[in-house]
Amino acid sequence: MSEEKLILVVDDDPDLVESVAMKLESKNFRVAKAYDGVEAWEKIKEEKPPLIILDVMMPRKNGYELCKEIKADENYKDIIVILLTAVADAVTSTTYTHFDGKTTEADDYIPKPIDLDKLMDIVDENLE
Amino acid sequence: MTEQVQENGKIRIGGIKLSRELILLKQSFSVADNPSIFPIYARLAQGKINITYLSAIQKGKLIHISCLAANEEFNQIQCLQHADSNSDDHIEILPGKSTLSLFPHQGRFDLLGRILGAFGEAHIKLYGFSSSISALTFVIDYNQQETAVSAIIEYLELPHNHTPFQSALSFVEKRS
Repeated sequence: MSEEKLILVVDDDPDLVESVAMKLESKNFRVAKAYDGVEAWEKIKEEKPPLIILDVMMPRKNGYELCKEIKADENYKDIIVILLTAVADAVTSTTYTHFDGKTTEADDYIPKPIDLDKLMDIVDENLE
Repeated sequence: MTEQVQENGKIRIGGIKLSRELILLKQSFSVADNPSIFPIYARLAQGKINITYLSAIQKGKLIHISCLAANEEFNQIQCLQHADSNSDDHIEILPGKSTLSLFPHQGRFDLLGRILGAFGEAHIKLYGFSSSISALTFVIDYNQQETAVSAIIEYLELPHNHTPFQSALSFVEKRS
């Protein structure tokens, strides 16, 4: 079912990137990795992955900003974006909220801490 | 599998991370004392002090435990150290430390070997080392961060426009 589709995983936590990548690779996906929004944008232009798993809080360019840029670009707006969001309703040090994740142009979201099996279900649903 | 060694002999990695200035806490016990490692961590938890790194090793008849805490916690850690005057616990407190992490390590021992060799040549003191699923983390002096990066960078290939070595964001948790 996966047919070696490429998925880009973006998070400033390298252990989380690796955990997600290992899970995806076990399901026969190819994985590209990036550790902040700027690096991710370069990877998107290079490889145009059909789906991106994208953390929100990252240095240089956060996930919301990147998602907005992806969806505003004619060349990349069809890329499926799955946001990794904090479970808390509000984080006082930022303006990002769980509900903001639902109102952005992201295609789906999964709360942290990540349930990898649930993430795979979300990935499969969105790629169908 | 992506080829990780470039034609120039460099090993490709995803990034390097440097921490802020940290405090290294060290404690040693005799195995014969059948010690619990909990007292030091119970005190840190009592003071709501987060730790970013933890290691415990046994060398001969001694167990050595070390952990890292934020530099801002120095005064509070000193207070905790002296809080229980009846305790035989002695915690060595070493300020001015930091971590250098590189990732992903791909389980490559040759990467580890090159880094340790480079640190040795550059006289970088190592106070600890650990690995996670993705990262190799070395505990070094904060004032040697630049020297350490310079020592290893010639052996590594980083992505174009890689994430900065030091995060631009810094959060200090407020306690209620």
